[in-house]
Amino acid sequence: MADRKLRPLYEAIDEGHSKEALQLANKILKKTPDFVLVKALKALALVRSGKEDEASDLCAQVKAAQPIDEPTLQAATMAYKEIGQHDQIVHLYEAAAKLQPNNEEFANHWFMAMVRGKDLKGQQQAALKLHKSFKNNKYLFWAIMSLALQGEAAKGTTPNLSYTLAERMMSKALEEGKVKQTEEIRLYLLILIGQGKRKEALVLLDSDIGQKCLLDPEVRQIYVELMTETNEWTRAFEVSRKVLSEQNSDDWISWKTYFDALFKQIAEDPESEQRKLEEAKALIESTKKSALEASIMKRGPFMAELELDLRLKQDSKIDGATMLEHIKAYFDRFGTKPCCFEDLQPYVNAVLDDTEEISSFINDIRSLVHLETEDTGVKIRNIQKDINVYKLEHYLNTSGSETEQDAVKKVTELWAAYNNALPLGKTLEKTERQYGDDYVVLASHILLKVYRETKDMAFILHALVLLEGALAKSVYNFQFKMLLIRLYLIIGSFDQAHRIFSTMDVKHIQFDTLTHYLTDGSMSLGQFDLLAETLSVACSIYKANEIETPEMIVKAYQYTTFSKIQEFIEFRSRLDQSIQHTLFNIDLARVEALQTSFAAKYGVQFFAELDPSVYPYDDDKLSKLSDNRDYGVMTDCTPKEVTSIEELSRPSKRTNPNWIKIQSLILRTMHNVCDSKCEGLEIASELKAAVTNEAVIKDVTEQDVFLGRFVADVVDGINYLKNAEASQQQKGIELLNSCNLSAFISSQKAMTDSTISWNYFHQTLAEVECVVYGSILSEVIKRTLSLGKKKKSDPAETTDAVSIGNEARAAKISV
Amino acid sequence: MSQLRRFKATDLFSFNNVNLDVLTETYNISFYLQYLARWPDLFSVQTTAQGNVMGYVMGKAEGTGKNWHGHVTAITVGPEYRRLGLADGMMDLLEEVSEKTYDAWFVDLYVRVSNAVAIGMYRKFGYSVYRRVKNYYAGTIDEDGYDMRKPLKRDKKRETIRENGENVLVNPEDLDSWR
Ligand SMILES: CC(C)(COP(=O)(O)OP(=O)(O)OC[C@H]1O[C@@H](n2cnc3c(N)ncnc32)[C@H](O)[C@@H]1OP(=O)(O)O)[C@@H](O)C(=O)NCCC(=O)NCCS
Repeated sequence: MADRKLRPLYEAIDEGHSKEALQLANKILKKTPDFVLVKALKALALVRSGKEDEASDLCAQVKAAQPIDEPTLQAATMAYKEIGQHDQIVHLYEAAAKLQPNNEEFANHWFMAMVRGKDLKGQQQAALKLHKSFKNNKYLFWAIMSLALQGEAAKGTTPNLSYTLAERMMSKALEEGKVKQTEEIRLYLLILIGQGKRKEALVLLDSDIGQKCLLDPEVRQIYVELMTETNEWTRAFEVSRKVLSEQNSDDWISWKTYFDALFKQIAEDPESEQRKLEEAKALIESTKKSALEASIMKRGPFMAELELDLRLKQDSKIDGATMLEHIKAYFDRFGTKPCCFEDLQPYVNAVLDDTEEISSFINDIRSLVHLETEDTGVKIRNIQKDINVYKLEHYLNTSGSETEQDAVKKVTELWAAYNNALPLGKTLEKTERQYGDDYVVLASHILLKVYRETKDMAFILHALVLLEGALAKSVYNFQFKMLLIRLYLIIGSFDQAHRIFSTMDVKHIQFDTLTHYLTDGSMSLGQFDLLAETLSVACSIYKANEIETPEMIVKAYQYTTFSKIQEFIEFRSRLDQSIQHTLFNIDLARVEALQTSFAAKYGVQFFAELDPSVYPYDDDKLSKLSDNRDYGVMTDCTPKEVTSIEELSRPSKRTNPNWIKIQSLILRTMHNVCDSKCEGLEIASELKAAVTNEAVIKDVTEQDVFLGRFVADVVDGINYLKNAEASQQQKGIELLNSCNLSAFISSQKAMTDSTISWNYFHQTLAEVECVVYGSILSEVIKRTLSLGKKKKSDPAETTDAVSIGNEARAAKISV
Repeated sequence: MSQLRRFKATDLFSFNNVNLDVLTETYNISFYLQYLARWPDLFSVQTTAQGNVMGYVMGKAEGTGKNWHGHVTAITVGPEYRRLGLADGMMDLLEEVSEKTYDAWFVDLYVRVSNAVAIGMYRKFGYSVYRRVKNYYAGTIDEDGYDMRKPLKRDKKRETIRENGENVLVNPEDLDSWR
């Protein structure tokens, strides 16, 4: 009967008609005021109509009724989730599980609610209870996992009781024959390795049950790692040799282990050196031979040869000439692959040092490129080879002695090479890149470098022309796009950068890792609506993380995939603590502050209502932020010790914790001074300290510092004004009068074609922010004084103090 | 040459060099994590010696009876790392795990009938077309997909594959429910 009555209510909720759902719920509740399920459903409808407080009250009533029927529990859970009160779900199911101790599902829900809420101790207890009541071993391992996580959290404290207990429970379970699955062994391993007990972990894998897990490739990798970490070099050597000779000679991990073990063995027994090295060379030769015969030729053994050379070179046991010959042979064989350049980097570095050697090496490999051929396939491969020569040349030319003319000549040469390659790509799919695209990437890098040296914007424009031209031919080449975005930002064109960015289909997790390419520092470029929209959309990833990731951690428990739980937790917390999220929040607040402050009183209101909690400033909080921004996407042929392309191409300094510190303190100071309930003193002095601290201001621009100082000084003045002592008030007035914007503003030179750039706009934005914040603060001064006036009045002072506001407004008009 | 290992959830922060390619879709968090939670050994990544992501494969195990099989959900290699045998290495691993850990009968995958490169590659790896699925790829332009299979050791009599599968046309709704 109840079902029929409730169906319309359920339907209304499902279809998102919250208003109708509310009416229906109220109607039912009028007749049956204690219908708990309907209360829970009404709570859900309330959250969805934005009435969180009412919903929360109603949920509390539901919880107090201690429901034990699935529909009510479900509805209440959903409502709590959407209000964001995850801890309450725990209580809900804890009560249900207590009332019905035989209901396994309730107890499961109780456990899972604690997993979502990161309550490790609680989940351990729930799991133990589950195990006691329902005897399923899975629950035992849940409890052990919960302990292991507590052990990990308490790492460094001795004794670490959680780890000790977890280990004891695990070894008992093993004795009792309860440990069967690979994932359960993984759980044991992570407990042992977490405590640094590598020898014990190795013993575990050596045991019968451990050996069964070696079917799993990752366990095999852990096995070898444990051998090297416990100095079992003979074993590590044997295992890696076997993998390389019998299974996979393209496996870099095994080659690295093999060489590590080889040289350890030689160090232990110098007599064996000759024999051991011969053995290694023989392995390389035989794997090379099989690679050449295989249907798909892999690079492994050929790169291993270079790696062995490199290690011998470190002990001066090989001459440079031999090594160079191997490098050239590698180039000749794999120069047709784009990654050849990357492959060779560490090896050319080790063997070439003077310019003469370098240029003769470049000449040698250039002679291996054969572009004059009629065979298209061969020609295409040689173009790639040619590109690799250019890249290596660029990489090795560290002297920086190139003149501007040389650079321009090189760019012309690369552009010609690109154009020569174009006809070969006529039949390529739209989704593919033209064969010569990297010529253009390299040419842009060179132009960018010259721009940085000469500050002549013409070079940026030149690069833009080349890149836009080439993008038309390879419409999906994201390397072009990344460069274009950055160059457009340098010239101050946010909408062009945005146009390119929007074709890259950045979404989900990429909102966190890639958005910075477009938005870092872009507030200065003024396109506030476009920027704010980009930021708001990108913020959706953090909500997704809140909702989705806990469910996936729950899933990992359900599938008893213990090897993934720590990883998921780390993933969740890296997104939770993302530095990018804070950066988004700051820029969104700054944009809104400017947009609402067309009249100062709205600005005051905006800052008064600002929630300061999402703007961290203390060093402890800042150091916990996780920087997930991906800086590694752009192709880069510059050597490590030289400024990277990613840095060269950014319009300003990378936003960083100290930048956050200053911006957060500005926002918080403004909040405190605008919200009459707050005392502005402490935060304002934090701001003052930050903008006078050399260690902080080295990470931000002078404009950022100016704004910070200006706000701090004005607020300082205001605080003196609030004092009852006349002398203090006088001091406040003096302070305020010394807050002068005009010098800062007149320092800006007029905009011309050659000065137009991000830097120019950055100064302009700083001026606008100063003026807007100044006028908001002058509104605060007015209010302070009119309050004060009621106590005792001195009209002469009033006019003086307000003059700063007038000055600000005047400046605003001139901007 | 590369390091082949299991994919980690935190690799999602640095897989852009691969995922920015147009042919590689970026999914929501749950999509990846769900695979990792359930089939952690069928989701692998190839990285450079420096640890940069070069490509990855994600798969699952599903089906009942003789349909119990490994499935390749996605395989992708970043543009500058193609033609190095990385896809080959990852498929090998997925097949090995399907065979040894899951005791599957075969491995299968779907590919657009127009993706000649991929079809040629899978043939080279020992896959053959089992059937053609009408409008398997629904979108602005619908496209048929080939269901390609490679039998594993367990299928001694090679019962799970057939010849001329190109001519066996089925509708998506006729695919087994486990798909
Ligand atoms: C398809 C793809 C995964 C291949 O990856 P890969 O690591 O380059 O492949 P491999 O190097 O292992 O190639 C193995 C063999 O496949 C064939 N092959 C691969 N790519 C080819 C291409 N572009 N053209 C012709 N044959 C090709 C070759 O026979 C190759 O052996 P060979 O290089 O010795 O001639 C990669 O091109 C890619 O990520 N494409 C975009 C995403 C996609 O289409 N995925 C497949 C969806 S089903």
